[in-house]
Amino acid sequence: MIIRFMLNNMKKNLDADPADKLSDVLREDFGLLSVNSCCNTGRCGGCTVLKDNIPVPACMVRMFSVRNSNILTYEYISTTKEFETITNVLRAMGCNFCDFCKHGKMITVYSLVMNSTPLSDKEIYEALSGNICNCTDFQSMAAGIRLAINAIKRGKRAERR
Amino acid sequence: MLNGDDKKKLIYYTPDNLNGLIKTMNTCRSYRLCFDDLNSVDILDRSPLKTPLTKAIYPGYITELSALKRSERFFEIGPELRINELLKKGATVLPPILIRALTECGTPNVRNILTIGGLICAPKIRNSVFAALSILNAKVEIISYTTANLRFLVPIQQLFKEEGLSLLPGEMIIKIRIPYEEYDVDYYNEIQDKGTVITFVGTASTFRGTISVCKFAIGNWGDDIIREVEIENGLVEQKLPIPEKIIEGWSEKFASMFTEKYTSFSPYVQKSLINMFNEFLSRL
Repeated sequence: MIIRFMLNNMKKNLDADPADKLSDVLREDFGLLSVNSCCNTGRCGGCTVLKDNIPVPACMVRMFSVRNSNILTYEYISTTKEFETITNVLRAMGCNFCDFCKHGKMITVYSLVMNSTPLSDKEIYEALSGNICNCTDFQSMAAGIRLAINAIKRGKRAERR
Repeated sequence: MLNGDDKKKLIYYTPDNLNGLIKTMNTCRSYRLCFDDLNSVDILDRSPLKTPLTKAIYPGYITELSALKRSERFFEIGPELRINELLKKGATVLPPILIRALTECGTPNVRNILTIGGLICAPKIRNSVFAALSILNAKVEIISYTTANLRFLVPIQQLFKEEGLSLLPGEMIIKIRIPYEEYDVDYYNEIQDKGTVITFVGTASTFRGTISVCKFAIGNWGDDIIREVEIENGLVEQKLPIPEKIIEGWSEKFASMFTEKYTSFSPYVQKSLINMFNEFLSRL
């Protein structure tokens, strides 16, 4: 079955079985190795990607539901301006993610920051609970996310002026 | 998995209404029905000869299957509605027990793709939501596309039998209907034992200082939902507040349930469930 979809803002046509997992296709057919499928049940958060700007575990998404949607992976996100701001702010707050969870957590943080709505501690904790790695403490991450939201807002205002 | 030639022959079809879906299913000789749930892909090959699959049908774009409707007496939830969407749309409308049960399943990222229909049909995962739905007297509307598009309602407790899902080939869940009722007390709690989750769900209403409705259920790892109608009926018309002695009496009766009927629970789980039952009664 030919499946047409956008991968990292580029049009793709792929001949795939509709039952194939998105994580397998991204790793094997496109060589996007940031998608780590560890548990294959959506619990670890290592394979998180953005599907139409919503974070989803790629190991639980089948290819038939990917049609006409836009998939963004860590490889694309890491080239954006906002990503630089987020990483700078998180580093300043002392958040250094380990290699196991870095990709998944950064995608979740990126989607939270890009929504740019004020978030409570509970909401941030809830959103990050899909990534099971405990390499970074939660308080500094929450503070970093809030600072990143403000920094990106300020940047956008400055651009408008 | 499909072979190379079969992959090319497969046509992707996304109907936008239920009639289109049923018509395709009736006319197509062999097809694959693709659902956004944990089981994900259901293959149905109706042809006597093993012909290659010709259509992959994805019903995710049918608005009827992914809508939350509220009428005077019911909530109607489409089975293709994602749980996070359902929680957003129904945050102020849905019964608090159901909201609590839905927020307990999976991680937020998983809930972005998990559908309520898939959750009900997935074995070993549904217990939390299933117990809440059984207490709320939910019914499931099923359509049979093999027998002249027959539609019928089935109480959710009867959806599963010992062997598993009781849906026949050619039947599909199209709605989950929950009667609109307000309860004074809502109780939800869960415990984990050996990697399994066991839930205790309870609701009750009071009228002029007496209990008018009292329902509770235990959702365990299996397919069964434990409901003890004898205790539920005994508690109705009990004057409030319930004296401690009477609570003790009922909790003894509740405890005897584990020695007589449900012996598979470990002592730790039994004690926790009895404590939950006591807490539920003390909240009345």
